Amino acid sequence: MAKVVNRMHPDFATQSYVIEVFKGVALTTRQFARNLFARKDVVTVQYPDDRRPYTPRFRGKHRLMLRDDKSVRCVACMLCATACPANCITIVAQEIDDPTIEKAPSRFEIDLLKCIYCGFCEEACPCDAIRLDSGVHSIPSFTRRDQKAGVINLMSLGSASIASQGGEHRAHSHEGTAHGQSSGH
Amino acid sequence: MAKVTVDGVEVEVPAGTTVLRAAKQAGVDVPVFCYHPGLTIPANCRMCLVDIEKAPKPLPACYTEVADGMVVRTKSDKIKATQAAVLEFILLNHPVDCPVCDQAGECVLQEHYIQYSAKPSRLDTEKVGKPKAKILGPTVVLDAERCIVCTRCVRFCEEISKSNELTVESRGEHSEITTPEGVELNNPYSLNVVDICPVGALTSRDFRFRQRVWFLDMKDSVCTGCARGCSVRVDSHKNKVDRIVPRYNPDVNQYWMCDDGRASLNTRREKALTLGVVPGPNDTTRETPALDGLRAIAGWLKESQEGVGIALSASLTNEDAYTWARLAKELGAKLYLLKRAAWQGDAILRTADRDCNDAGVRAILTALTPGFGDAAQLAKDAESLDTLIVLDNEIAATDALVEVISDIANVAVLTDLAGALSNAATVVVPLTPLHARDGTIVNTAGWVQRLAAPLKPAVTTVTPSAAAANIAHAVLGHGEHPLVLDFAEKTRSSELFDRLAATVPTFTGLSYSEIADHGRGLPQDGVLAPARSHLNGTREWEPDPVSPTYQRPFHLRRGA
Repeated sequence: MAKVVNRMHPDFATQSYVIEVFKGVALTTRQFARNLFARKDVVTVQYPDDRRPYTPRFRGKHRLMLRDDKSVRCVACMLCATACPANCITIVAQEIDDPTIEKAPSRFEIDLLKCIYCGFCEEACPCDAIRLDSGVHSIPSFTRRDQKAGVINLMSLGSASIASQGGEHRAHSHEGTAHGQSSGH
Repeated sequence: MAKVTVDGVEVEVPAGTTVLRAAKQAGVDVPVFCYHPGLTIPANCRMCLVDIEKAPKPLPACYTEVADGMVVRTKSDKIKATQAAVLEFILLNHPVDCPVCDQAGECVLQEHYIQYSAKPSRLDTEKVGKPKAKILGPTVVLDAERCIVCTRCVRFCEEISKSNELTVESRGEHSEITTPEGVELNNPYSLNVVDICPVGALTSRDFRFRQRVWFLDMKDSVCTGCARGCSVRVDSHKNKVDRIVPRYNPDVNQYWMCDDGRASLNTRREKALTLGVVPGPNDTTRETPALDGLRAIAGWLKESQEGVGIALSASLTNEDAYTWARLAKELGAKLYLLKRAAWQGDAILRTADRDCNDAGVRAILTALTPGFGDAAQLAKDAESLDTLIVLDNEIAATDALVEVISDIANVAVLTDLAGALSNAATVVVPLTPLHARDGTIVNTAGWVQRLAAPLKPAVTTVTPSAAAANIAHAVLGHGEHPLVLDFAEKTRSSELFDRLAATVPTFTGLSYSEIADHGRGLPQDGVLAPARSHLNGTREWEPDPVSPTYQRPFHLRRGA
C-alpha cells in the first residue's frame, strides 16, 4: 500500500535561505569559538598524534611469537595456511639444525592486502606462534609488494609465549593427556 | 567355494580366501595396519581382529582363511572395544607430531584413531623416546618414535627388493626399525617403503616438508622413465609437481615403482626450458619464445636444397609421433628414430630400454613411413643433409650424436629440457614440459596408458603436435593443403589417438576414451582384450587409498 508522506511546506522566508544561511554560520562560528578558547570539549581525536584505545580483542597486524632464544616459534605446520579463507599465507618449510625441532619456516609471508583479519590462523595454530593482538591497525605503504609481510617483519612485533612447545611436554607432562601443546595466554 | 556371512551380507568366495578379502567383497572395510596386499601377511598389528562365530577369541581377518558357513561380525560391541584397545596400545608411545608430520592427511593411524577410538591418552608416565629424523639412506628418513612396527618396510626389503636392509631391533616398546651396522637403505626401490608406511615413520628426503598433502592436486598418469611405464599418480600444487607415487596396476607395476622414476622430477625442475634460442644478427643468438624458432625452421625447410632429416625420440607420445611422421612424409624428409642410452634393467620393474614409448613410436613409423633409420643411419646420412630437426623428449644426448649434428648446417632441437643437444643446436624450440602434456604411450608389454597433464604450460612453449601443425602451415601453404587443414582440425590428444587407431593397424579397435585408469592392452592377432571391470567401480583391492573418509577444507576443494 502506498504510504502518504507529509511534505513540509516552508514559508517564503525559509525558502529564500537568507536567514537560514546566517543561522548555519552562527552555529559553526559558535562551535569554532568554543574549540578555540575552551579546548576541553573538543570531540575530534587528533589522529595520528592521539589515538582512541582499542579493545583488547581487536585483531590487528599479525605477529610471530618467539621462543626463549628469540628464534621463531612457528613450526611450519601450515595449519594457518589451511584454515585461512583468504589464502593469504605462504609458508615454505625447511629442516633446521636443532634436533629437537622438526622443521621451521624458511619463508613465512602474509599478504596483508588479501588478509581479512578473521583470526582463523591464530585459532588454528597448535603452538601459539601467530597472533593478531599487536594492536597495529593501519599499515600504509607505497607499493603492493610492501604489503607482503615476511617473517622478519612479523617477528619484530613478537614476544615470548608462556605456552609450552615441542618436546617440552615430555619433561613435565603431568596433565595426563597426550596433548602437550596446549596453548595458554 | 565357501559361503561366508560378513555383517549380515552373504558372499560366495573361493576356498582359501582370507576373511579380509571376503569382507571387502561384501562391502565391509576391516581396518588394517600391517597387512599390505603386495606383501606376505604377518598379522602383527591386530587391528583387523574380527568376531567369528564358534571361535573362542577374535581372529585376525587378514590371516584367517574362510570356511563354508562362517559367520563374521566386524562391528559387534566386543570388536569395537577390541579395536579401541588395540589403537590405545599402538598409540601409547606415539608422539603427537601430527601438525609437523609429513604423513598427516594421508595417515592410516590418524584415520583409524578418529574412526575407531578418538579417546584421549591415559598414559601418566613419560613416553618412550627414540631417535627422530634418523637418516637411513640417500632417500629415506626414519622417525622411530612414530613407527608402529608393522614391519611392512622390512617385508618389502625382504620380498620385493630382496635387498634385506631393514630389520627390527630390540623388543616390546623398545622395538625399532633399523639397518644392520654399516648398511644403509640404498636400493633402486627404496622409496616404496615410504609409500607403504602407514604412519609418518618413513619419509622421503626429497618430498619431506615440501608440501602438506591436503594441498596436492592428484592426477593419474604414467612414469616415462623406462619402457615399463609404471602407473603413477602425479601430485602437484600451484603448477609445480611435488612428488610422483606409484598407483596400483595389476597389469604393469603392481604397487611399486623405482626411485629413478621419482627422481626424474629433480632433473625436470633444474633443466626446464621456457625460452628457446634463434640466431640473431652478427653471429649472436637471442632467447625467444617457441614461435620464433618455428618460423626459423619453416624458413630453412622452404630453402632446403639437399635434404631434410627429422629425428624423433622413442619417448614421444603416440600422438606426437603420428603427427610428426605425417609431416615428415609430406615434406619428403628422412625419418630417424633415436634412442636414449640404455641402463641397467632388473627383474623387478626396470627395463634396460629407457624409452617409454618405443613400441608405440616404432609401430607408427613402420605403418606410416617404412624405411626409417636409426642413430647409426643418421651418422651416415649426415653429409647429405642440410637441415635436421631433432624432436627430443627424453634423449640423453650422446657425444656421438652431438658430433653428428655439429656437421649439419641447420640444426633445430625441440626439447623441454636444456642439455648438450640443445647447446649444440642453432635453433632451440622450448616444448611444453612433460607434466603439461597429455597423450598415450605403449609399454614394453604392449600396454597402452594415458598421460595426465596436471600443469599449465608457459605461454612461450609449444607442444610437439602444435609445432608440427605450425611448421606445416608455414611450409605447405595457408589453408589449402589437406594436411594443414587436418592438423588445424584435430588438435586434441583424444582426436589424434582415435585417428591414429583408425590408421595404424597395431592400434586397431582402441579408442582414447576407453583407455582409463589402468590402461588397455594392444589387440593381439586383431582381437582386443575386454576392458577391465574396474571401470564399473569394482576394483579388486586398493592399497591404502588416500583418505577414504578425508575431505579437503571447503576452500581447497576443486569443482565443489
